Amino acid sequence: MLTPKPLFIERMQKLIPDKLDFEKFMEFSQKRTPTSIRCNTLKISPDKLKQKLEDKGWKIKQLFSDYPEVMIIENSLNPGELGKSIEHILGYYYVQEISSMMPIIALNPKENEIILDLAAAPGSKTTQASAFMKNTGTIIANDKTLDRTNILCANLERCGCSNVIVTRHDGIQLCRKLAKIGMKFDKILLDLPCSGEGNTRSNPKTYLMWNIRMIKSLSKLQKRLVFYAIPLLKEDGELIYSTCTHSPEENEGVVDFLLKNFDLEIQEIKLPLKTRSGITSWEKENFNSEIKKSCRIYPQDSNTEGFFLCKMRRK
Amino acid sequence: MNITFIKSNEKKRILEKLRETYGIEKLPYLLISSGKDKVRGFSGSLSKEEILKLNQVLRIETLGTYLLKKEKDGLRLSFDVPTILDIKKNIIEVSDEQTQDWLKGKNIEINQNVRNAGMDCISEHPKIPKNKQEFFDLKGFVVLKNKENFVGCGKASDKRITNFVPKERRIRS
Repeated sequence: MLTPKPLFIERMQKLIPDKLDFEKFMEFSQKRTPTSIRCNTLKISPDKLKQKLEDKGWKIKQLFSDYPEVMIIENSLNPGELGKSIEHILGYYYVQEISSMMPIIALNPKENEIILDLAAAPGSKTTQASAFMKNTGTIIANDKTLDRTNILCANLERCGCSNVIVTRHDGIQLCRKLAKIGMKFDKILLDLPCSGEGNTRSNPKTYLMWNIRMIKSLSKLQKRLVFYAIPLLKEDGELIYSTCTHSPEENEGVVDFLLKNFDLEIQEIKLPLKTRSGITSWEKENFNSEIKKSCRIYPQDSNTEGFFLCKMRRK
Repeated sequence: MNITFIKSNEKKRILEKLRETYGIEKLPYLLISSGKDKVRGFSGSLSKEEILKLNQVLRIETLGTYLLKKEKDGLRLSFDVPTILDIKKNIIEVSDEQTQDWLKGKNIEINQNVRNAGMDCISEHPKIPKNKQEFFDLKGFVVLKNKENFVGCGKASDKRITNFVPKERRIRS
């Protein structure tokens, strides 16, 4: 079994100072996450999908009454069964971890809005946004490499998303080009590449790759990306900054950087999961106290992966 | 991406053919020519001018969803169109077993299926007899249906229904 490096543990202990709480964090970090799917409402209603899956003998639980599309499969499945089912092939559902559904729930894309998804592949959040928007409005979904945009395109086809324009650019280059032609967005999703500390339950290899240099370098990249993305937001436009990591350098540190450089206001988010407030200091750095309104999701709180998200509005 | 919008009279012709073959009544998309006779549909709010402006500065990989391919003898629907548009004609019902084979990329051999009485033609196409046993008279593009699920488009001939399930969507055995 892969185990975290001592520095990772030390940092997490600082973030979760309560001993019992930290033990629970470690315990949950080694358990597999529940199998979760999101019904693709562009193709089928949650009730119909649930019925179809139950007819196959799957035990389905809908976790949130406000979001019936979010489902857990409670029985164990054979290897590959989730991806080989006819319902998956036909695009009736997307296999997506519950915490990763939260950025779009928080962003709440509406019909006819113009949305930018800067680092979109493999497309879980883009397809979710498209479903929220009922295939209206427009989503510009970008990723950097051909391999990644190919996966994104395949998922968009499978899910029947017809309101999406897929572009392939480095994020900063894309933002510059969009700024040049005066393109503005109602909402922006900045779910950026990160060190993945929150993903260790499904991808324990993260422990092997983890190192502090990577965190510092990702934090720099994230700051550069958000710096170029924010000017594309309309006045009163909203954005979500999110990562699947716990490290404050990649989370509160980036949000603090944004607040220092742009006229943004952090908004409270109501999510159907237990969340904890963002932190306001880390190592020698103090962050804007408003950052408390951002959300940390820990595995032990709702049996999910770890996540961070912050919603902001451009004043 | 080379973006060419399909003009309204051509869109009308496409919709007319879709109505005739599949009973599709609405095509709520901006249609775009893509590659060799392929047609994509964009349901987003950007105008043609805005899309072209974007295309001048951005590397657009795709736009909207793949709808159909124009072939000599008709319009071949993409795998996903039957799950997003209302299909009323040229539907062939297939059994669970046939569906599994179909999704693995296998053709449906008509004679064998007739013998097994596993197929049920529910087409409303005027040329097609409604008698179940004569469904093999069906020729050309058809849509396959298993229970409530549309499982893609195929092409029926005397002997078989040729499989058009894209490779990347097939079940690997």
